[in-house]
Amino acid sequence: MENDLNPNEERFLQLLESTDFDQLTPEDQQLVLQFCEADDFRLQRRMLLQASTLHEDIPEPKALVLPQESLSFWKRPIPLYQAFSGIAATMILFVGSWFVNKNHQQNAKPGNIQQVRTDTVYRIQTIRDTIYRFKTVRYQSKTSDYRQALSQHANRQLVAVPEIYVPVPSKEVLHSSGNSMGDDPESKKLVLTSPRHSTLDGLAPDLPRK
Amino acid sequence: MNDEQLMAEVIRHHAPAEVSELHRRYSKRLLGFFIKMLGGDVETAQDLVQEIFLRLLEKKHLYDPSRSFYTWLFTIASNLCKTHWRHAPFQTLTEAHSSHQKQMAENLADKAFFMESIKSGLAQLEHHQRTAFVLRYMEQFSLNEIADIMECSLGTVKSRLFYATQKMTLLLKDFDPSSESTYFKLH
Repeated sequence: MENDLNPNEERFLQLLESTDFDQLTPEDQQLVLQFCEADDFRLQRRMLLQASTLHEDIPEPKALVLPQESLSFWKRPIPLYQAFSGIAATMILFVGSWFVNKNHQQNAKPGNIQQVRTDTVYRIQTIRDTIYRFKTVRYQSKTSDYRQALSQHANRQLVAVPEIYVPVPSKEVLHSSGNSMGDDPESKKLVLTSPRHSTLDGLAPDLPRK
Repeated sequence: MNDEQLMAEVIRHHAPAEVSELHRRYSKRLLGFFIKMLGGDVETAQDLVQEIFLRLLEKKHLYDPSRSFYTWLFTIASNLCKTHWRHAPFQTLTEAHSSHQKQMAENLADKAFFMESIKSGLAQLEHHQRTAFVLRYMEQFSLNEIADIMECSLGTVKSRLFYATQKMTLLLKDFDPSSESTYFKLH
């Protein structure tokens, strides 16, 4: 409903506002008849003309009543005693600060040097500028203790290691072909000829006996 | 001083005298506009006239001096009507319409009947259509002024007027069509 009108609709509205149906040109009448019948057009036209006379008797408006403007902080009235109290307080503050400032300024003048005689001087604090740190180093011979400790360690090792006799295998054992003793004639000899000897004695006759 | 100068004074000094002068100039026309928009409710219209000048003081900083004061005032008035229309109970319209139907049956031949039917038709328009109709055909504003007041394009104003008129015609045709040729003859 909010779309703009096409040119024919705009023309229809223009004719409706301005001209009676009977006074329209034949072309305009044809255009109007595209939208409505002649009676409808007359009805609309009459409605628009009559609408302007609707509610013609307008009463007098009421007098304007404006709300009283709220006063700002600076325009707000206050009691007289509050005003005088405020003024007095301001003056006291002003005079007091003026005296303080005056004394301070006299003391702070650059040419104002005052001599003060004193008979006793107290030393309150000593400020040092250099601090030394001392460290004592003691040198001690450790030779005898070290040797003693070493000998104890060596004795401990001697005691701890057991006496183990490790046999050295002969060449025949090392390079044996893997035959059984039954096939080897030398082995048979050993078993038969020296039954009292241990196998170890026979295999390693060169080893020292203990 | 013209309207814009008076408004400038109001903005600067919150001047009650200038506001009273603006009220003197426009209150009657505003009252007429509100009465037409509200379907003849004079009391509410009077209240709205008061309210519009209070709003003028509250919203004076929103006034654009490059814009016509007259159209700006009617923009506020139109918005006030919209607010009132939103808050108004729906019963008002239906009651008014039913009473009108009764009256129509009783006074079919009466000349005032036509005016009443226009009022009834106007009350049934959508708010934006009614505003455009009232401003154009009852308050005689130009199309450009209406576009300014309603804050929309010229094409939109024409569209609203076109469809408002069509709708009003349909409502008027609901009455006895055979009597139209007799009673609705143009002078």
